[in-house]
Amino acid sequence: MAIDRLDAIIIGANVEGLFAAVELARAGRQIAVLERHPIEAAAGEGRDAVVSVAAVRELNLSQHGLRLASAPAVVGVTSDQALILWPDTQAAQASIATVSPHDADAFENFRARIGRAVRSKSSAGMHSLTAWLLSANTLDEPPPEHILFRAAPLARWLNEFFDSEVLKGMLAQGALMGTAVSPHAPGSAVLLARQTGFAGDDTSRFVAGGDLELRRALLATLKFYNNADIHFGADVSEIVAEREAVYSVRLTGGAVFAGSAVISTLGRERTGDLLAGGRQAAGNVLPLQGAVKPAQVKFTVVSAPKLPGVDAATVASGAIVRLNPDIERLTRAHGAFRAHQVPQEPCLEFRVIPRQIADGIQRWEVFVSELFIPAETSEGSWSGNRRERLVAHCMNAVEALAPGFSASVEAAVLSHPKETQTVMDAKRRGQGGSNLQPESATVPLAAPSIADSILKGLIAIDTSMFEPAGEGGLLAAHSIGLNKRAKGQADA
Amino acid sequence: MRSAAPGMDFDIIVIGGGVNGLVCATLLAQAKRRVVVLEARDRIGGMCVSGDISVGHRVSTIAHLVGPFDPAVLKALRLQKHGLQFTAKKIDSVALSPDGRHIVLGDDLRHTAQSLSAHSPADAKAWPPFETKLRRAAQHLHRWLHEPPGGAFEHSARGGFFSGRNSARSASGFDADFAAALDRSIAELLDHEFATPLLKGAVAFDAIIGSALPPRAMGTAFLAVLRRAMEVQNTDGHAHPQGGAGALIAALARAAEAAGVQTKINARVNHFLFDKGHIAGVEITSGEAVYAPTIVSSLDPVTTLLALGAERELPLGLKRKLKGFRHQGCLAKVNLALGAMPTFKGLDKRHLKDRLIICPSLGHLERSFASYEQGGFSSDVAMEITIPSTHDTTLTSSGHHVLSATVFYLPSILATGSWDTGKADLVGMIGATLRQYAPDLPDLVLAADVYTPADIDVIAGGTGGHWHGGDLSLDQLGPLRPAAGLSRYATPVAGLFLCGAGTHPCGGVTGINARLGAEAVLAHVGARP
Repeated sequence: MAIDRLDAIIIGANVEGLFAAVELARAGRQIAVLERHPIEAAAGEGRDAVVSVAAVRELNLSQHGLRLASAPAVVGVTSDQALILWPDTQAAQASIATVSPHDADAFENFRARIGRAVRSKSSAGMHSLTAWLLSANTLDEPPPEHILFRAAPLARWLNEFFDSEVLKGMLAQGALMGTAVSPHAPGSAVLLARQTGFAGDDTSRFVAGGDLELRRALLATLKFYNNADIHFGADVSEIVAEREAVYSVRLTGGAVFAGSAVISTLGRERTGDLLAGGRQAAGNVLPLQGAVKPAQVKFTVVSAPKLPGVDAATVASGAIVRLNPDIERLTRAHGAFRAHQVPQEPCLEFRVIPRQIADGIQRWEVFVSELFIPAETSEGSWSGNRRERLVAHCMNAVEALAPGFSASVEAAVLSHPKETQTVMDAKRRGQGGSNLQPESATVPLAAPSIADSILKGLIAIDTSMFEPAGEGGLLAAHSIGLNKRAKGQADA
Repeated sequence: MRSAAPGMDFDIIVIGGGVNGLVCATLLAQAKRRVVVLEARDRIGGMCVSGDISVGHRVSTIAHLVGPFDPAVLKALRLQKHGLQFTAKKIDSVALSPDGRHIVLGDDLRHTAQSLSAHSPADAKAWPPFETKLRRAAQHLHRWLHEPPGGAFEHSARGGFFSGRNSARSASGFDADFAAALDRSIAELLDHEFATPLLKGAVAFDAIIGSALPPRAMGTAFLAVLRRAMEVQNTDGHAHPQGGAGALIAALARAAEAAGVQTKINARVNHFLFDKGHIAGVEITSGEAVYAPTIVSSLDPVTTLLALGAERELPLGLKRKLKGFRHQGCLAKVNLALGAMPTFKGLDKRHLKDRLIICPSLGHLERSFASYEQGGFSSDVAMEITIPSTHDTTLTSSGHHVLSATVFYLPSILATGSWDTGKADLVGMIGATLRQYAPDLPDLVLAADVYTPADIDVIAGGTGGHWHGGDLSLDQLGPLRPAAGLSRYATPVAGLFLCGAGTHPCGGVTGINARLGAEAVLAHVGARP
């Protein structure tokens, strides 16, 4: 054989790909990362990144400059109320007290109970709810926290704690962002723990500097290993299979990398397109049911949006601002989404990041994420006109609460709202709609076994669907079984 | 006002004169208690009533299939002796296909397999083992279903009217992997095994019907087993009482009277009366007070505990938990008087007396649910149809028929407009749907009655109007029904008990809730020698 065979090839030097690469490199594997962009600095939007504290420790990312930060403030705004959940519990409670003193008292208990539920889940193991219902002895003991947490809809949890619709709406929206889950879906309560800081500080944290910094630290870490190569400007044109197993990866320039495993971060569809012979199924797709990227619009504005009841400094500090948060509004939007329609009442949030574009010229980037936008609507695909309407839809929603916003917009860029393909093999695939087990929206199901895969050694994952960041890459690395021990060492 | 002192009028007040209220009252009276039933409406029956769609066309107004009734209750109340007759028992189900390739979902696995083979030979082969597995699991549930969650009551010395059973706390024999699979959705369970959309639609519909849950909601797989658990080991299965659901109530009323129960109609409870924190009676709409040291409510738990003045006796945590109990109805009832028997495409005549299901696929249910979430309805509603006049000749004169259908999912409150105008749209849509299966049906309609979830709410006494008294969701079943700490029929309010459909095990015309409620009362107060 003319070329050396690698243990694994990773397509895409994004956060998920780099997590997989570092994890494999750490295990002594010969790997290569192929990145289409010609230079290192290309990818990343300056978005928030949440990482698992355990993964940061394992991968030694702090040694390569990664710093963890506290969560940004979360702001909920309606036409007559503004509520700010500061990362600091007492400050948050002071703000909540302006709308409901009861809720302010309940807030601390709420966070503590979520923390307990998450911890009791891990200590008590994941035993079946059904088995619990059938065997529970109710005479003397209250049900374990994690049982209620896993069985209940998040709306029920929130109603149990709080009166304020804005507060409940804010917490619900934060939990549901990036999923296709209704606030009334049984089991959706687990999603409440996604909001960093709620599950206890020891699980996951924000990265200072967001995804750009996270990626930089991962690249720095990867360079530390001499068994890992990274190639920029490497545009993959084909994934080649031999005897139903992945064999090599070909670049547009003609170069070939041979390897016994490929982790593609291009998602199921694009990975499928790269398979030689136009194969439909892209091997193993990490199961992540019903996760839906929110539609994202980046507005560049000449002045930061001004919201009633929220001071400008808070908005400009990168707070997450949720507009008209409300559980029933989320329910209706979810219904519209399931009917393949754009919700009439948008459920969206934004963050404002200041940018110095030239000497003395200040602009703000407003990242708007809208929940429950279907990948395909009953009106057809997302072509020009419809994309413009979605941008206008977002802009008007912000304008309604922050008058003058539209007039300040210089530019707007829409990220295609694309539903990640679900899951599983063809036999298991349902008809219509994406299927969702709430739990799998945060925690991807157990890694699929290679034996079941249509093409051995190939794993496709969708980036930015994983929380904490890197979870997908780590799962991919683990599921090809290469992180355990290097081949040469196995027999030694 | 007279103070709530000794010298009470009754030993026990039962609130609500529906099936559970009457069964509970009768069992308590049989234990030598002086019992009064207070019914808010001008007739007893609750959701179990018969009425005329038009002159000469009688039908079960809301609930249209009885059972599977608790055999212990049937026996204790001697309902047969009191005139209850079933004209059809163990009614099979048929999943209707617009092209006539219907699937029979019955007791006999071979019938189902046979009707499935026209759709998919692989599915026909996969059905018997699948259904057998669910039924076997259901057998483990049978005992769970008939006892209070968390083990049987300690009966007082002379106690209960049923011999104490051993505690059934163990889920042994219930394969752990299978239990985990039941945590998932019915859609996943079916997608894993079958390809035929009609089969999957109908089986999912049967599992979920009445609860505001989509087929991909977690825990709906368990509902498929729960449904089967209700059916196994029962004598009659789903049955039709001669004369409709009202005839069951008539028999129950006679049984109650024979046991010495008094019944007051037009006696809506305004609020409870207390004596030093202990229940002492109720005040009814007329302003009259009725006194008793013990009250059993067959109303939904939320109304019982939060709307009638008991709220201040409850711990705050429990109050908030109860508020989250989901018991908003999502099902409508449509009753049609027909001038002749409609012709269902490809349907064997003998199946006309079965349950006919219209739910062609999982996607159909999902779309219907999506409309429901938005506060509306679409042409994708699912239906359960019975034509009771095929086996009960007392309902209408010869040649004519009555058709009774439940329609699912429909919102209580329409987001656009009101049900006053929405009803006409609903009837039109149902007609169009039925035409696909029985082209001549819409032309045979002489009269139609529609009961929206809001109408059913009124008939059920303004307490949600939920078909099962509350969603059958994993967080609302067993020890969590209606809320953790409230699942054993007794409440934190001294002297107040629950026995309605919002308690364990679930809704349905079964009498189980009532029996377990009555047992709880007797375990607390003791039976009279």
